[in-house]
Amino acid sequence: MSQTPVLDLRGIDKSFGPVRVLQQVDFTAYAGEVTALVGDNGAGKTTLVKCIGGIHSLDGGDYLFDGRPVRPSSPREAAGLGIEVVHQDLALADNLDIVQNMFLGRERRRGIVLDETAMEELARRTLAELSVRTIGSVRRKVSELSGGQRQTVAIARAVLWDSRVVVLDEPSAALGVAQTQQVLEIVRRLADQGLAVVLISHNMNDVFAVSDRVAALYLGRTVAQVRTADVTHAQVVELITAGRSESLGIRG
Amino acid sequence: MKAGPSQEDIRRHNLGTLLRYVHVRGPASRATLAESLGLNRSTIMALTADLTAAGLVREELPRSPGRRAGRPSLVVRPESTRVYVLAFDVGVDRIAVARVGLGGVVLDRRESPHEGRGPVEPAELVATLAGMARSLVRKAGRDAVCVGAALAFPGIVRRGDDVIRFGPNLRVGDVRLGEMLSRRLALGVPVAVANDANLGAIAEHERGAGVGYDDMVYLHGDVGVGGGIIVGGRLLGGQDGYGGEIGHMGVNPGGRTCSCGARGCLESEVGERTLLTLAGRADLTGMTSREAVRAIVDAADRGDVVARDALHQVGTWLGHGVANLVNIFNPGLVVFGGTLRDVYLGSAAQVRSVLATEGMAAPRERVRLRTAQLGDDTTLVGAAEFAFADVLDDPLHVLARLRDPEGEPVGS
Amino acid sequence: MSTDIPRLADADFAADRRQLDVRSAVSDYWARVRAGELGAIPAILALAFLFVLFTGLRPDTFLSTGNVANLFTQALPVTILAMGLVFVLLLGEIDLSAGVASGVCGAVMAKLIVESGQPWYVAVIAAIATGVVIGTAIGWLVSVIRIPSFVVTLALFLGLQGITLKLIGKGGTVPVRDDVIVALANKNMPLWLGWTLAVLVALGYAASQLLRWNRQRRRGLHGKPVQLVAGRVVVVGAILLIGTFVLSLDRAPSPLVTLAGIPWGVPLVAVLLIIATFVLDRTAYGRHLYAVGGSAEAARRAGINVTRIRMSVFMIASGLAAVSGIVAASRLNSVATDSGAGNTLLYAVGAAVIGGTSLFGGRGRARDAILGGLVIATIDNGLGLLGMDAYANFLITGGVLLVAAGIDALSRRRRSATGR
Repeated sequence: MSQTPVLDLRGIDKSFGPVRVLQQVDFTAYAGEVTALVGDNGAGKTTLVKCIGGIHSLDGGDYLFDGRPVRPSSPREAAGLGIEVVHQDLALADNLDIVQNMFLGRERRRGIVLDETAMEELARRTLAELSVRTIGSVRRKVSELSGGQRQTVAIARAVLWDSRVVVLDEPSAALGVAQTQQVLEIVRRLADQGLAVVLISHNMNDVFAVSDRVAALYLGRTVAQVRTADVTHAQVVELITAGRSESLGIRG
Repeated sequence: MKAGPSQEDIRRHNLGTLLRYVHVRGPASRATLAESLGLNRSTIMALTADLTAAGLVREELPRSPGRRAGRPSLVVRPESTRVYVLAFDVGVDRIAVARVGLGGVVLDRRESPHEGRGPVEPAELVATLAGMARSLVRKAGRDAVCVGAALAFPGIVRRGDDVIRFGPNLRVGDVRLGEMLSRRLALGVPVAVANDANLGAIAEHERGAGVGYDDMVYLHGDVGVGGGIIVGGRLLGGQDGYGGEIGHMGVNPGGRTCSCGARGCLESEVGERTLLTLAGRADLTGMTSREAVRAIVDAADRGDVVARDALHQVGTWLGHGVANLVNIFNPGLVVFGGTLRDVYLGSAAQVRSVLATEGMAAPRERVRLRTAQLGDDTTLVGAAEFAFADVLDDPLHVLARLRDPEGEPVGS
Repeated sequence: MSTDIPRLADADFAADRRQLDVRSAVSDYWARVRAGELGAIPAILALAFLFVLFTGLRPDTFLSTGNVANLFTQALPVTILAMGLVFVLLLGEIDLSAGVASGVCGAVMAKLIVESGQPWYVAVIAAIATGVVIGTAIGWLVSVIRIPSFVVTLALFLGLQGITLKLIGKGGTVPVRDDVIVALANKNMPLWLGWTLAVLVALGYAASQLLRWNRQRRRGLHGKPVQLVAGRVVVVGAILLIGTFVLSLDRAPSPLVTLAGIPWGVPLVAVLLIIATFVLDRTAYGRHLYAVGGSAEAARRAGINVTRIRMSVFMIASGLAAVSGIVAASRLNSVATDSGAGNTLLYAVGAAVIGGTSLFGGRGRARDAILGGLVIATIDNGLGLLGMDAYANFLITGGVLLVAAGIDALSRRRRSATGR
């Protein structure tokens, strides 16, 4: 598959004062694929995601979106390009229902009146496309939902806007097994629908279960970007913990 | 013998094709149908008129808020509530029966656990199934008609006469379950019997993760391990319909003894009993197989080292099996269903690691590994699809036969 | 005709597609109540209890038509003030100065009419403008400078009383004699107009409910069973018409004159209620208000200007406080140095909370102010009829506020315990 990556970051540098967090980081994500971003704590995953999502500005390097150089300087601008980030804390309003949360800040209106029917139908269609099976009613309040269901709503909200890239930061961190599985299947389905999905996860099983590519960060550098089908568990663990893998021919 | 297909054959074929289209893809406008089926609009109109008269489809204005200009094309939708089949799924520890409408809509369902671990009396099983089915039929509308029935069975079933040759986990070997059930139901439809994993493969291919993949492998776990292989869009049946017994592929010569008598089959290395034994939970009773497997995956996730090790081993053997399948069939997709869904998600790292080392580079390059999109309903949905096969092949004939079981079919 | 049954993929929104029948709707409702979503129940129970209690204690006076009409006018200022506070409480903020702000605005109006001889509408506009300016100041201090609203409004509670004193001066009261202003709380609508309006409002309510139900059904959306919708329409209609009927009876103490009709203040509150409900339920602004109250962080991430929202609610609250001050001035025919001070604010907060608005933010509706306002006015009125001493009045009203806040806190705990 030699298509243009949707997201192509080259030689990214980022420092906070004297602290260099990212150094010459390369990262690509392709449409229709799940790219797993792995690395130890402090390897720079979250910083990289914040750079992608427009929260941090870049100190240096190239940010290509669909092959065009861009520099999103706010989450809004990133969203304008079609890049949505689902953060770990999800940021949902508990007292609102699913539809209201999915359209929060971007409500559909007719005149000054909210167009509830259009929003409800669109929300339901989006959830149905993700084969979300366990919500019951889209008019349930978010406070009634389980952790996995909330995650689902947050993801559905991210893909509601003709997004091209969805970045998921540890989506299964606080979930039980059944809910994790549900979220993983949704992640997979997003990619099957043609989105470029970036998945940050600590769990090797999750990474192997759904990803097509693995990008490993080690101490703020990209040590490998490989196809998941070509690597083993042991090799990825080696990349994360040592920043190199003899068997893959990657030296730190 | 005719030289070529007659006018009548072509019409029958076209009717079936159109009906299949709306059955699988959902309601479609005449314009879409004409374009997708490569027929002109007047032919489509004649075909829909025939199907409407037979009560199989209906035409109506599109419901979605179409604010586009111009006259909207009529939408042809399947008569989901009026035309249905009965789908039976005899799992090892549960029985499910569903009334499924044309278009693949589950209209109603009954489920009951059953103590399938000991030998099951066929007569008893048939009585239970018929009872559940009857309560479903009773609830159907008065104008609804049952056009077929099929039963998914976890065993080896001979194509042609539907005799169960081997049911390793349900000992009801060599009986004609379908005939018994059909007689008992007295609905005038035969009950087809097929291997459950084969049906699961069909379901995932037509309505699940495998839509768009003509070459795929489906692996199904339900105490044992079964499978279905789709090659070129068709289920691989083999000489007698026994094909696709992936669970009895040898992966570990000299390994554990399998229920089939051999040693080191995929089933004996990754089946539920093995997983339970490895996890030190062979004594888990009172749980369905699915619950037991989930309990182990859950324990592993919480850090239970014994459960982790068990999943690790099982995942490794599963990887061997998948690598073999990928090397032999070069599928675009491998789907894990039933309890193997949980096993795969709990041991994906091992499965894919083995695939990465043992799968040949070329065939594994583009293979995708997925979990069943239809969840716990794969085999049930597959049975429904199988039951619809007759009516989709020759819609008018099947309906005519139902209406007038003795007389000559009308119009053919 | 189209019995639409979901396809497999969306079979799981069955709850949305199914028209709920009455039984499941009732059991859903009961489940929500048990999980701590009390809604209007406490207020209605309290109202029923108080009516029974006071009728029992003062059978001949409490339910007399004159007293019932009095009850309504008594409830007007509290209700309007509470409606403004609902907006503030929705964000989990508090405005302790709303009561005295209403006093300042009343004083501004009175001074303009009495001393500058301005027409009533100029005075009213000036009073409301004063309220909005006060609200802007509070909003700016709270949302931009980030002083807790509790502290800002406590400071203004004192400061504004000073301003009222300065405005009104030594005399202690400024009489208000403008006909229009006085009519607000003291004059009644002609009977025919009252009936026409009541019928129109009832019909309008019925139409909007049924249209909505029909639209939902047609598009296969989540909806209530038609019996419940019809029931609600009937109940609301009955309350409207019975109320109109009672207020249309002659309640003059002497047979020589007639005194009947709906007080002019009632339609004013009705209009405010409709506007506030529309803004909260049907506009993006209202949606954002609830979102900020539920989770300010989520709202901020969704691109909502939280600062502006926070500022706006104080402007609304103080603006409505001005209206409340005008109505209060009308009722008493004067503005005094202690107008809006004392227990005015306590009553208004109590009204909102009794009505079902949460002190923790994110929950509440405009109608809460009406229900709670009626409860508070009934207590005030009933205790007055009983001839209770002032100390008892304070004790009881304070106790009611505590109980209401307690119910709010407990039901919130219940909600989080049941994962709602």
